[in-house]
Amino acid sequence: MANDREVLREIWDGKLPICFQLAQEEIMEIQQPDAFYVMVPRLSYFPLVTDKMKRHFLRYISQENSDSEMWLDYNGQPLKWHYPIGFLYDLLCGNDPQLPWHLTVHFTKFPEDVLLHCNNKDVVEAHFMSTVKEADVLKHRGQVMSTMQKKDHNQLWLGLQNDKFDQFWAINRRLMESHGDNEGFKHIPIKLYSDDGTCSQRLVSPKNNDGSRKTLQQMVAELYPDKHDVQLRTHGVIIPSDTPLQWLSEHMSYPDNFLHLCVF
Amino acid sequence: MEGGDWRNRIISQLQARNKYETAAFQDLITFQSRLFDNVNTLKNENLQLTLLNERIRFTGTDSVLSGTGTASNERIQALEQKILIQQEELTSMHRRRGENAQQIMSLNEKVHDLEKQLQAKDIIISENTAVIASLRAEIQMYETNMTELQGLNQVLRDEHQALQIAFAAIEDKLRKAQDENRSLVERLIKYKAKDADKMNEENEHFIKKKTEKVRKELEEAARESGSRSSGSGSSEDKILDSISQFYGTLPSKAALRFDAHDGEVNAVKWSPTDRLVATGGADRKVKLWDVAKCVVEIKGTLVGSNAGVMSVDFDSTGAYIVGASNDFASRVWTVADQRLRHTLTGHSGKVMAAKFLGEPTKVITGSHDRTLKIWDLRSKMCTETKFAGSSCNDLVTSDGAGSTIISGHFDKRIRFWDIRTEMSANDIMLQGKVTSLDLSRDNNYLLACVRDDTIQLIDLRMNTIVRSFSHESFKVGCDWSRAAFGPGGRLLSVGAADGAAYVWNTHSGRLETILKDHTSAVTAVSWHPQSGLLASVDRGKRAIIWGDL
Repeated sequence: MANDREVLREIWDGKLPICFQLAQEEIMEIQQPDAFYVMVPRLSYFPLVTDKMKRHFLRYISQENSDSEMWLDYNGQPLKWHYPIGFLYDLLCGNDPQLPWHLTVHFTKFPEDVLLHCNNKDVVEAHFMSTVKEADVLKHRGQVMSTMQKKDHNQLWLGLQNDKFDQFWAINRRLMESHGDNEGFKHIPIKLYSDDGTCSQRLVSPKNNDGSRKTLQQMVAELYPDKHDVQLRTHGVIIPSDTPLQWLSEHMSYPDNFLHLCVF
Repeated sequence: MEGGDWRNRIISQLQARNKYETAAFQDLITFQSRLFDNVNTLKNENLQLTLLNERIRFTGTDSVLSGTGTASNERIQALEQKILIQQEELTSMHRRRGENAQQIMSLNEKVHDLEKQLQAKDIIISENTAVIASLRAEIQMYETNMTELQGLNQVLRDEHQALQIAFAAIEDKLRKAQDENRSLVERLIKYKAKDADKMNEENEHFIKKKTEKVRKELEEAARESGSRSSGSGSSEDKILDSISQFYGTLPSKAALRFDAHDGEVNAVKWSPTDRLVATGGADRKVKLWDVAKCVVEIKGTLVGSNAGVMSVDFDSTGAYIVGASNDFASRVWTVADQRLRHTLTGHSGKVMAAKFLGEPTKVITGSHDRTLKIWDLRSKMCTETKFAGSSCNDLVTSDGAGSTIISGHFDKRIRFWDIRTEMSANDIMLQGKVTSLDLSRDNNYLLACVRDDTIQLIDLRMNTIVRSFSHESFKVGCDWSRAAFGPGGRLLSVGAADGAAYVWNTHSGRLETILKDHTSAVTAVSWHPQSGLLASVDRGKRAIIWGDL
């Protein structure tokens, strides 16, 4: 049970200051556009928070590009919109935190081979819901999601979109419950990212073979038997290695119910 | 609530994070964004104010200028300029008007054209409606016609059905009548045969009495004296006379001679009812000769065969005649109107013999193709084929029902067939090819003419040869020489190669007479069933009727 409200609230309240700047080669006005500063929730996704910024910059670009899709990069690295913002920051600037986070806005030369297209927020919603379902399959064999009604799904999504903690967690806590006689999930939905951006996803059980709770340390030893002093970061914090996996999954998962951990 | 060191560490890290990342910038960013919005709104306001200012300045200069004298000049100039502009505008307007007028004219023309087209279309439409109306009327007419015709058709169909039913009933009646007729004819024949027997009996009686009388006379005469022995010779003559009288039915002289056909005459047959003789010849015809009036009179020629006719046969009522032909077919004619009724094709060899099988609607044929076929004339098809294994030269049907068939074959055998079974029931082996068969009236004796120049009399009750007839000068003329029983079965006759017709007594085996008048081999003979007239035909074209007419 995800009942440690303090941790949840701290995680939820995490926000990042971001400074958007339009790419130099796309400015079509004499006057330089002002940089656009905004605070964004760490748990949100870029397409949900960039509407105002986009309107601001549309005035400064050539008219023929105004309908084309917008994309962002950090130091020449295109940002994948389908990852939570906080996770992207951890992955790209975790070792060298610089705030506010300077991002460049592009309207042309969409990197087709790196990014997925995102025409509107329905695409984000579809991606989010499918990830939640995947996590639920791992945790409860999909039983919780399939018993939820459509309005529950909607509430989950609207809670995230509108940054409403209570609305979101009223539904999400059902996903965080463990079912059956044994405490804990079937498997932990977890994605591990190395600092070059490659993602690996493994089947990880919350318990050891002898039935005791598995800690982060034990999992790392299982997954990286030849590496030592591996540290894992999520939500901008380095996780103590004796943290139990079950608790970690219940409290430190992103809204898509996955643990996104950066390995370094 | 679980926890431990790790939880506290996480909490403190998170708090530190939020402090560093969020709290430090929160106010700054909010303030910045407020400033950003303010800048934007101020920019907009500024723009609007500049516009307003510009407008105010323009009107301001106007009002300032009107106050002074020089200003009025400027004003006039301005007004003139305005007028100039107005005039220019006017001319351009005029020009535009002219253009518009031209456009109106062209449009009017177009409208005119369109009206014309419209009129033409109207005319076409009215024409078409008229046509449609007339077509509709026509359709109506045809529909009524059709319904009338359908009604008529229905009536006709009903009538046809009624007529069909009536026809079926009448046909049924006809069939019954025919059956009755047949039975009556059979009865008549039976009575006639009885009459003949009785007559014969009476004759015998009479002769017996006469011979008795003669014997008595002879005894008396013998008793009278031996000197009058010369008288006895005359009395012997008398006996012979009386004997010849006893054989009154024995034909002795040729009553009629005539040329029947062009070429060979193959078959001859008396009608069972009239004094009508049918002959069939190699000239592909069957001819009917009426001899009732002591002269020969041709009654009809039955044509249709494509090759020589090998055999002719009347049915029991004398109404139909069947002819077997070398063209592999058999044909049935009606005697009364001499029309060809049926052509029975199916044999693959010459048809040697064709006979009615009991009733006039069934025919049996025997062929050179070694089969016998039974035909039903009502359905006009072959109902049965019997595989005899040897070429059939002649065949007879044993009784009224036609259930037994006897056929004579090239392989010297006589075969017996039951119509209900497929196979031959029995056979008799003879010394030579069987050329013809004839059955006595009581169906007990079978006459077979054999190519070894004998005539065999077979008792059918025992299936044995009871008598054989031959003579040193008797030679069978051809493979289809026809022998025949005389009326009552006491005599038999057959034609020979030397042109004579030999007559034997059936009971005694005595050769009664040799009737020699033909110049070529006699092929067939036939006895008239009541009068005892004998008809014979030869390989020339000659036919002769023997006996007293």
